[in-house]
Amino acid sequence: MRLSFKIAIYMVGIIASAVILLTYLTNAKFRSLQEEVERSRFLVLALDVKATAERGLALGLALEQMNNLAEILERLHEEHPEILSLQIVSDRGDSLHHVGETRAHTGLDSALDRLRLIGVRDSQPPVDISDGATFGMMLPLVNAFDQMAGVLVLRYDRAPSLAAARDVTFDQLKIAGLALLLTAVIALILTSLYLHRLSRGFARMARLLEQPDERPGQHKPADVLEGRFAKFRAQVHALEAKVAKVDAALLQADRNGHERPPPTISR
Amino acid sequence: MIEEGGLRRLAYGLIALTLALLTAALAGVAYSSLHSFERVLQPQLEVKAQVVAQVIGDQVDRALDAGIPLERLEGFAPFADQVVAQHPEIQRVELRDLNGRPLRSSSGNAEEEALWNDQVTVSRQGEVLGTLAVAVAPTYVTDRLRDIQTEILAILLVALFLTFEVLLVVVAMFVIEPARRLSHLLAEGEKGYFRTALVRETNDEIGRLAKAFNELIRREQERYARLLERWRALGPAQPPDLAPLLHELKDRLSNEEPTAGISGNVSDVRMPLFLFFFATELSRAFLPIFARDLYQPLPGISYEVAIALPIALYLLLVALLTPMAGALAGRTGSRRLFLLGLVPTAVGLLMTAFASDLLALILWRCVNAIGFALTSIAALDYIARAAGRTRRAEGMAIYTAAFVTAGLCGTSIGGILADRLGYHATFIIATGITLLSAIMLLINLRERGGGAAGAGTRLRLADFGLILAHRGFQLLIVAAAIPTQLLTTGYLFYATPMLLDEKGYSASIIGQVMMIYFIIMILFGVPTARLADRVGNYRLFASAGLMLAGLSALLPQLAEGATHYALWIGLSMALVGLAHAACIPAQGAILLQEAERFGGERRTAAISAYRVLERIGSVLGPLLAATLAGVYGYSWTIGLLGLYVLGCGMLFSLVSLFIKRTSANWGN
Repeated sequence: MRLSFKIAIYMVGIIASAVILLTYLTNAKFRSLQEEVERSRFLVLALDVKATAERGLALGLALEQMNNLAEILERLHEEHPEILSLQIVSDRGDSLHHVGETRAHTGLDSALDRLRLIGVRDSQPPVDISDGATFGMMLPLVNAFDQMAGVLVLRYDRAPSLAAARDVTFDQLKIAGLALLLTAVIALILTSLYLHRLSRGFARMARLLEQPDERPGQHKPADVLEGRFAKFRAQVHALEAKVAKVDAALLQADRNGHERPPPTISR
Repeated sequence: MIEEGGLRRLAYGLIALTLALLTAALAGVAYSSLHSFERVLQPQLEVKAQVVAQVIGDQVDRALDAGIPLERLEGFAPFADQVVAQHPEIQRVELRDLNGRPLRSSSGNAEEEALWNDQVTVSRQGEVLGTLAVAVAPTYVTDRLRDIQTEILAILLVALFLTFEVLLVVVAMFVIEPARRLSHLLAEGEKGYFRTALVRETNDEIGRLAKAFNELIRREQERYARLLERWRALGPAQPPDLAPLLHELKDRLSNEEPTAGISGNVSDVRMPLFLFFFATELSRAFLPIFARDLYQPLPGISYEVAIALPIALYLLLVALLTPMAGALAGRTGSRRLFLLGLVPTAVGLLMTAFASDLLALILWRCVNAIGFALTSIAALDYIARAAGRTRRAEGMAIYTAAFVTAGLCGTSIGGILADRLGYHATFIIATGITLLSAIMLLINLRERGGGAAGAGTRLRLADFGLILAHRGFQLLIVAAAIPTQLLTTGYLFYATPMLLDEKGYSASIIGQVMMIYFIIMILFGVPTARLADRVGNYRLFASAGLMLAGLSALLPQLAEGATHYALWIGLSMALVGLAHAACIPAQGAILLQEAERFGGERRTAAISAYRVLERIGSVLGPLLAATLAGVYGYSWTIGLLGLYVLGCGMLFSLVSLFIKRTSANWGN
């Protein structure tokens, strides 16, 4: 594997880590922003219903007596198909008016208990009762004595939100993938160009090391590096000459001392 | 053969190239993502504007049904202002007559660019009298995404330091070290010695050259080995005149296994060490907050002390175990000890992820501390062996760079991850990184036999007595080292996350603020150390650093109530970082000067004992900060710690001046 390729892999690795982290962060931010926008839209509707109900309570009407509430819930359900259910629930947990699929939900009871515990006030934020399948919010309906007469429960579908988030995620993955691919190609090309001289240098050294034997003084070294390798090769030759001398002497000694010729050293 | 300076410049060129590509990639991804978000969110904003328009329209209809003329709806403007204030996506609300002429509207610049929605009619008893229009802010999405700009900047900064860290190691590993070895072989060969061979034969250009060298040397060594065998086989028939020649050949070649010409590569430990520190630093930005969330009453221990215990006990265990780990390194070998240390680190981090109460957190942090002590000493031991005497400074620089860079990266990334994924998931990621460190260690590090160059020194109580009886050490420990460590752990690591969390800042912002300290340390550490060397007055730098650190710690209290409070804390962090960049190396230099008075093994023992004693400050820091915070609050607590450090700096300065004036017989 070429040196430039190895180094480029690490470069692309670092860039990929940063791009992945950035993509993840921006995606998470988008999802939370999208949920917030959607939630605030339904909150506007819920607050409008709450205001209507509290006007009735201020006039002394009980929630179950407010028939216009049922009509309002019905209208909203028709105008906004993402709304799965709207419910007016008494402070005891009895459903007074409802539209859409209202199913038993354990979160509802605990949310009611929580509201009872913390008390209610004008600036009360809605209680989140979302689950895996739906988004949901609960708003207290307060009478003129600041007592909770009941709650409004609104649930809306997660599916459009999830679909939009999936689309965006897919887009982002495409963009990130493309960016990384482009980066990898550019990194490979530029690193290869940048390290070209270095690679050539090492290739030249390998050639110098393997250069065939020459007589001393036959060829003047072109530069310092060539000179050093020439010196290196000369030392190798000198060493090999000594080894050959020892080899010959041992062979002779072997012949003098044994009948069978000893093995010779082969190059 | 190959100029090392040129290769380092090569590395910097590669770093610059990586950064350019990184910036372009991040900018492209961020820009494209923004377009994608606007494409999806804009229609949703318009739907909301429509809903708001309908709700307001119903209210206007009720007013018209009550008999109020459209032109006389005086209360419309304040009501519309209220709507705009409640819904930041809505830029403007306008009531228009049938000709489209604006009658009443919310306040704001009418000329400002706005995205007007479909109009809703307003009517009295079925008769349409006018229209209501609501405009969406065209830059709403961009504005809301702006708050991740700091996170993008943090990612870029972390990637910058990661690039430095990784590419320097990669170039060292693939180019510089092999080139150095080749140069050594060539130099040896020019003198006629062919005793050593390269160990690594990679499949790149350098590897091919290395292979050619290795083959040549192996071939000659094998020939010599066969000659020696034949010589020995001759027995009494050995020609005597051959002995000197064989001796010469032995001198030039070795009959042993080809060994690496140079001792183990110092750079090999850098990546595993960096990853290890990175994993341990991921929780820096949120650990005290995590402890607070898991709080349970502990008998006899106040709330404040209880939540500081995971940090304090961790530091205490590291201080106590480090000397023991040093002795162990000599026996087991650094590679094995490093791997051994990674086990409790990984287990500690993983079990911390599943901790459900404070006691469990404390227990697993203690397990983590065991791993940290073993691993950090193993790394120091490896560096000491691999670097030898000639490259010790380089080795220590690698250790310090890994620690500080990992602190920077880990703190900021940890905060971001904790914000998005939660504390528990962040600890699981830290475990994964620890395992990655183990894998890199297995690939990179070569085991070396036990030797004398280890970092471990067996400490005895007498060594502590030795330095505590010495006035120079007393001053350094009491007036410099302990206050510095106390401020680092008490202010930086404990009080900062708690204070910023109290002010409502996210873990991501906390991590980015704490990151500033490490950035300043990296940028100014070496230059101030060099300046101190040039000036030659280490006590001046130590005193000035202490006093600056003390003063900087007063900022959080002085800035109390200011807008962008996190920026003021960031400024304080930067100044403390600058102060520590000045005083910590200076304290190290003074330590070496004081230790020189002992000489030999006593010198090394004195340094080790000092290192243990200075950790008193780091253990006390979070406990003291927690206790004070319970009474005075965090910003006052930081200020009080600052005053203490300032006082210690002044004391150090005065006594140092006294030393300079008297100068005779100091320390006797």
